[in-house]
Amino acid sequence: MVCEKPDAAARVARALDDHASPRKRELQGVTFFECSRRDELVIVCSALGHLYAVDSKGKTTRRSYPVWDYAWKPKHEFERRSARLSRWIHVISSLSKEADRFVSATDYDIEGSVIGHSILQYACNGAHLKASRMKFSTMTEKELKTAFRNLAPQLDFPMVEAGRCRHELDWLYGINLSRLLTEAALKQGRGYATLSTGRVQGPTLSFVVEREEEIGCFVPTPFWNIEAAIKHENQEYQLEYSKEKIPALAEAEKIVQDCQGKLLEVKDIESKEVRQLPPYPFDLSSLQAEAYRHFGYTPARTLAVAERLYLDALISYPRTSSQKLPPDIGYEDILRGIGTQRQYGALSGKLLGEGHLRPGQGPKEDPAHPAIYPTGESPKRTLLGPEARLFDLIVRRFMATFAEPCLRLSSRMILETGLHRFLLRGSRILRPGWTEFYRPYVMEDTQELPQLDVGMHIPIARIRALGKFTQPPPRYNPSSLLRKMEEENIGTKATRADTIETLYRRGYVKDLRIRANPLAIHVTQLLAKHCPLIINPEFTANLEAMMDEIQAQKTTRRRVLIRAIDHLRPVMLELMAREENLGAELSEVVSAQKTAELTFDSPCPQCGSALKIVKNRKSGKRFIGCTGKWEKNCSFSLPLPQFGSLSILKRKCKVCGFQMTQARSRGRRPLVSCPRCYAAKLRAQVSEATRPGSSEVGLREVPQTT
Amino acid sequence: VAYGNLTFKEYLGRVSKLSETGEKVRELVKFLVQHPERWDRSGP
Repeated sequence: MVCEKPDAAARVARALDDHASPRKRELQGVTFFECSRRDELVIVCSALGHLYAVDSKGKTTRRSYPVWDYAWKPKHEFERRSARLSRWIHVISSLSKEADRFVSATDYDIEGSVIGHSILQYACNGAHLKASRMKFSTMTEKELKTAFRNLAPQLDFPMVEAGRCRHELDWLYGINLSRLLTEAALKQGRGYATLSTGRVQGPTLSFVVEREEEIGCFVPTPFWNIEAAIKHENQEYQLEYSKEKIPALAEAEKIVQDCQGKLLEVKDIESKEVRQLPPYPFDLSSLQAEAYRHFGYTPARTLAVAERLYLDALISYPRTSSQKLPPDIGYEDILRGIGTQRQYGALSGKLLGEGHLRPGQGPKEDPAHPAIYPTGESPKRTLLGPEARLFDLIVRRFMATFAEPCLRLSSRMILETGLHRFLLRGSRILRPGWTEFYRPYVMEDTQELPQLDVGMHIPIARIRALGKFTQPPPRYNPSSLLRKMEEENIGTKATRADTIETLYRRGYVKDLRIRANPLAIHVTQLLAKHCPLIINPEFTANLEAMMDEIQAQKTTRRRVLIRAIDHLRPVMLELMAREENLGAELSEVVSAQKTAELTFDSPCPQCGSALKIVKNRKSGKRFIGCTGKWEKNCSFSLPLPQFGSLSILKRKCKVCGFQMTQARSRGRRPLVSCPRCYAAKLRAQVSEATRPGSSEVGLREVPQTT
Repeated sequence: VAYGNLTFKEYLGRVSKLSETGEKVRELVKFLVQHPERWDRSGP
């Protein structure tokens, strides 16, 4: 039996073993499990994600292009960082020789199916044709046992074909276009930079660049708001003027003049009850959006934390696009399970006491998995901060979907003086419904109206015209960019977060409010000029739709690939003909960006020269060094974080005014710090440690946070 | 429209001072301040 990850293998093995204690064994450093069942021995081994991937057929240099011939190869053969995978393939291969039947127990989605299929095909000598498929949505013992009893007789080949097609297309587009861009710039001899683009990356970057252009070309327009208030029983109430935006100063001033010191007459009071339906169950993108809104987690981080919770059998499979909860997941059992945790006991009891349980369902569907839901199991270990927060969000959302709608009384009071009309809005919750279950993740704004009747008069306490300007469109953040990708049907739920991370890694974008670098603008402009289809979201969305058709068995992988190659080949030939011009433009930007990325705006406090990020040739450690080292003999230096991709922020430290740095590592919160304050902290600790009588033996590491 | 009678120079001055103004517009304003004769009022 092949699982996707070691943690998943351990959990599957424990569920399948008759005594819930499988024998853990190790071969060449690779762990696998032996489960004794009544009549058979099941060997559960695991992959480490993809062990096989697409690479060029035969021997070609990594710099040659275009490449059209490819093959599925063990990853360790062409990727240096995947060297350890060779042991995994070797162990799985040797174990498979003794096996008389095979099961793929990888995650039940496109990627999982491809992982299981490639291992069975290549490492197990063509076992993919006789293997069965284990399908499950949660890692609970009960579901794993049921899934093993009801194995599908063969692998999900349509899903596998769609997955393989996606990998092959991504490789063909990515390798050819990225190599062309990188090599074209490199040939100009102004330094190396990895310039990549691809089927999904190109359109995603173009969204960011388009927004950057809109912001760059924005001309603000002035307008005025009328701010007015009345006072009743010592409480002030803000009024809205009937016309929200006044386009001219003279008009705004006239309104203020007309109303100043006047009495307002209550003309009407309208009230209506508004039903707010409960939220839909979480699919991956709505979970990522909500986690960003409440905790500031990037989509990639949310996915990483959700996967951890899934492997601990606390939630169902998170890579789903479904917003539906089918009854067979067992609503009552889950709520009872949740109720055993102190903080949810009262709420879950309330739902169970209401009798019929019917969750609200969203419009999105996924044939492979239901929406994300808690399994009802309690955490067996103390959850870390992000895990605990995300788990709480998922549990409360699950309960909220079963609750009654929230009933609000929405009121509006109309007040007039002469020709001018003002509105006073109020809102009050009559029945909390689902909001009670989803606290603290719901906004509960209540504004009571004053006790005034129709026909009564009340003076305006204050009124003024407030000048404002229209705002440029907001920059994307990781969450809104992911939503845009989803709207345009670019990429898959599993890969979108990774694509955004790649944009950061390649230096195309920076900051949390995503800002396109000059390099990104140039690459996108060049592609738009020479091969606009590559950055056209419609084209990529079409390919996505074709891959869905493969899964639905309406077309074949071969047909889709032929069509894609027919499109890519002339584009490549055209670009190659203009390679020199492209390279000249790109290399200039690459070189300018490299200098800008490494140099600080703040000058050296000792000699006034520029400060740069420098790498020690011997130790490989990076630090901030002064460019006046040789000319002015300046020895000023500051420490830097040694892990993650480093960028210099525009933001200045509030304490010392030095420029802040940011280190981004995959799946972690970006580390923003001030190198100067960090150095000061270190110095203070050294002097503390070396002071006579100090109990400190040496220098202790200080967490570098602000 | 917003301020009534505003000269072209005053208008450019106001636009360049606003934080919401885009970088490209700022460059254009700088250019027009130096070359006011290039402003074509008959354009679209």
